Amino acid sequence: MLLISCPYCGVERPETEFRYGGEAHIARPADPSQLNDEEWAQFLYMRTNTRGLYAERWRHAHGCGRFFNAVRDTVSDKFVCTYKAGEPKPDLDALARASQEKDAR
Amino acid sequence: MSAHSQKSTQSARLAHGGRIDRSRTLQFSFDGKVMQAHPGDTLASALIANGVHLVGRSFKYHRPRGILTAGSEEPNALVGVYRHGDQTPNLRATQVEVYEGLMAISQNRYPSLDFDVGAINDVLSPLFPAGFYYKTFMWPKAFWDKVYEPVIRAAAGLGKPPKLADPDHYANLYAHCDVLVIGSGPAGLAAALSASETGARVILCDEQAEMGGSLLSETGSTIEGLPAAEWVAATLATLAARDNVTLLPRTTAFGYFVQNFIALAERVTDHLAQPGANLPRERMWQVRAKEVVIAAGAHERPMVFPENDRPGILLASAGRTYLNRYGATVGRRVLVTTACDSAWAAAFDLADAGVEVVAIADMRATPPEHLREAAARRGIRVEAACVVTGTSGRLRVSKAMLGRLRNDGSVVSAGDVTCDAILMSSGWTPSVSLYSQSRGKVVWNAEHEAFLPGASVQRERSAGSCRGVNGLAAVLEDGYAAAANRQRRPQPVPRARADA
Amino acid sequence: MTRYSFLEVAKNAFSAHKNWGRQWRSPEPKPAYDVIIIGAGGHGLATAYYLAKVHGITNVAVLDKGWLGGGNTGRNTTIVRSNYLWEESARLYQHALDLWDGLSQELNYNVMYSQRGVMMLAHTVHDIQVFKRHIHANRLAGVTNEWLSAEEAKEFCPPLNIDKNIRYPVMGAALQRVGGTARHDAVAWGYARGASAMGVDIIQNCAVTGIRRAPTGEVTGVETTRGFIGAKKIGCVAAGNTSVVMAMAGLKLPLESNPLQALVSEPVKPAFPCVVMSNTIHAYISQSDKGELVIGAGTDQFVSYSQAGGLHITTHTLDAICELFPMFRRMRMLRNWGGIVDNTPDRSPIIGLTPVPGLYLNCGWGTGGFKATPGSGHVFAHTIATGAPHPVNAPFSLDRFRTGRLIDEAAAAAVAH
Repeated sequence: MLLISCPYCGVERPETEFRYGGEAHIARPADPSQLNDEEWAQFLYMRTNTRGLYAERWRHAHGCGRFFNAVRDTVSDKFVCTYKAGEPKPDLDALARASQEKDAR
Repeated sequence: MSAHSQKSTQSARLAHGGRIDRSRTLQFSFDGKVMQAHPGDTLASALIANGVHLVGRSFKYHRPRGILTAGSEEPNALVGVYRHGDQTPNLRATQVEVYEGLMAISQNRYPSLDFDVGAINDVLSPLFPAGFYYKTFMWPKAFWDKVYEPVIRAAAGLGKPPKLADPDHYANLYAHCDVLVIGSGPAGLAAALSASETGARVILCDEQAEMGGSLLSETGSTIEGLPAAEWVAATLATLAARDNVTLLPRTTAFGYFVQNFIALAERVTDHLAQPGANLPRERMWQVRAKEVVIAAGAHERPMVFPENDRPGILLASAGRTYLNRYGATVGRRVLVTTACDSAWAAAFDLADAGVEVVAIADMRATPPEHLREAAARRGIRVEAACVVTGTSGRLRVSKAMLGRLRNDGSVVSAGDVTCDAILMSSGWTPSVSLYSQSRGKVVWNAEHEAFLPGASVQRERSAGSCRGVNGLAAVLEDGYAAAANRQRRPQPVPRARADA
Repeated sequence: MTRYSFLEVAKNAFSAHKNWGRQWRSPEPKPAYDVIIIGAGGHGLATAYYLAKVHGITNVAVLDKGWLGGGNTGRNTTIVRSNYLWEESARLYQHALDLWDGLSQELNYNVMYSQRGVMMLAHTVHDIQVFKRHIHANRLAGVTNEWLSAEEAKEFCPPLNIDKNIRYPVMGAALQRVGGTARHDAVAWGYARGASAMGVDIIQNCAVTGIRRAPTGEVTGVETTRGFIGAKKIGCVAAGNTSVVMAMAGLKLPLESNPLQALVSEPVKPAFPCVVMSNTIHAYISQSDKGELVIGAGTDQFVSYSQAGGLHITTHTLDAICELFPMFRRMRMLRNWGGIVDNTPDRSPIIGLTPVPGLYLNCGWGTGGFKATPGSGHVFAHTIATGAPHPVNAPFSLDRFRTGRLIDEAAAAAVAH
């Protein structure tokens, strides 16, 4: 059972309080009618599905109810950080490099 | 079943020794035969005290099998225990605690343990090698569903499944703590003492009914001047008196999940003759621990030789445990075969208790001098560069064939010895299961010739023999250290000393 | 290839079974092959087998970053059935079922295919409606499936609890009598042995680290931890790791890789005659020929490559098992593990071409790939050999996500997502 830190509530809560929201930072097109089928399929279905550091959404369904984002290593399931909706996507490459250096020490 | 037939079935129970309560006698039955035991016995120790070693049949070849160990790693002594009119299958006799009226049965044999028709598989074993079923049973095609598979299914499986709905109820609880210590041997006790001194919330769990681990089978060691078992009692009393400590015996840590989420299974009523209706049979503790200390110990390895699986052949430390914890001897003429030092302690303890040790066969060309002297003082025959090359005795070992290792690696016969028990040890393998579940990677250590825990991936640390630390003093220090360096205020921790 | 038979086993007894040949070769990779299959699981090995057997294409390498059959093929709960909803699915899974029948004889390897029946339980009015619809659709498509009352379900599976007073009572069931189980490891090994004997090279401990393409875009080979291996045709059959491999060709797919857990109990004498699945209470169970109850759970909700999952998932499943089969509550679980399942939005697989010339894709089987192993391999081999999909896998194209022609089998997948 994952332990997830809700950036709004400010506490770590067990996974059963949350619902997964898939990949983060996928902007809903401002004008869907302008997209062709290929572009619409990209938005609806195509996902990075990273093996490694992944930016994803969670919703604190049995808590504050809000969506927020997280960076988690999908191999170890360790959370690197959680951050509020609207905040910029962290530099995943830099985070990966930093954690590799930390492990090497 | 009256009290005056007290010791009539316990042919292998010695007059003194053990931690069992000799003031009370219990009756239990195995395959319908009624025998005596004492509070504190496991079913395995009680059977051994009654001279019973044949307890089961192997899965495929139905070879007669006896008790091999004194712990949860037991592969052979799998029994069914009756309760509420139905039996629970595949319980390890080494973990079943005897209570008044316990009814146990052996498994995977027909019509009886002594005479099992399934043993025909052993005779025909050359036709049934590993994986033979992938190479056959393909013709005619229709026979698979209708003939072959039903026969295979009937032959497979060990115990019989329960038939009735389970009448018991089970409880689940969540717990949080600062330090979870898994294992209450010397390393775990030291870690729990150290961790709880600062007021941190500590949970100490152990799969056995009595805490103390290997210290409960120790004879020669002292810790802080006390015999090992007394130090255990004093330490447990200290821990029990601390409000911030939760002691959980009979509790197995069975799963290590991410972010230090550990699942424990506590056995609450299986050892009680009359369990209260309000008690759950088991409790599952789901623990979120800030830190974890794994003090899971090490498993002894058998010696490898043909027919090393006969009833009456046990691990050396098991022989020692049955003697020192339960006052029972594994036999009257015991052979010890080993490749390491620790088995010699089993030989010495048995000899000191008046049991005949027919020989210590050590595979090494030059076993340590101090051990040879200690053997000589007791009049025990020692054979160096010596191994067992075979055994006989179908339902109980009766003879061992010895072999001498030559310099070129060949083996020549070194005669036979008559024996009714063999204790074997080829060394110790650190228990790295929980560490591996924490997703750490084990690392091969050439010096220990074993896999040891590598870097920690969770906030956990292994302590004691499960990470290759040996020798009582070193293990105790390792346990203290495991809990001490966890960003807590430094405390002057009392050091433990151990002899032997 | 030595023909396996009881006579052969008996003959080898005289030499204490020391003279059996290896079941497959472990050669060094050649500089190039006609076809490279990425992923030596059941589907990948079956693809290689049929490439050689049906199309005469034997200059094939199957690469795996680990040991063959060590991914989902070695971790599933061995259920075989074809009772999905849509016609396209019916054709695909029935094609597999037709190949399962006689597979042991085809491979000369006992895959222990047991048609003991797969029963899907209905616990609500909605379940009844869904399953009856499935049954009608199946019968129209030539797939066997029938409705049972609760009493009939109990007759078919005596351990089943049809008490009306449990949380999710059994209201009936859909039974596919020809469904059942097969030994998963044997399927991988049987296909590996057969393929290897025909000249296919199986290269284990060989991870693909890149897909090389010509300036004009077509594939020319793969970079691996054991060097570059050239090929004009590459089939990616990497299950949960598909996104990782396809990203090497610059492709993003409609996949999410989730953990899926399973467990086995201690082995007991025969107690459970068939396969039982329950969508609503998230559990499926059968008993292996070794006597162990094989139990599968739902997926964990997040993307993970950890091959592990949460305890709450398995306890939820075991609670359901205990309520449906009360006599099993005292049985202990022996082993628990996880795999990585690649789920598509419509829970149907993707088998066919990609926008990259020469690169073929077989993925998205999610929680239900094992049952389709022979069919998947067979049609994917056809796709690679001819450069065009077989009629059976034509609807399961990557392109359907653009056109909207999804094949929604979330209910039939029968595993909680």
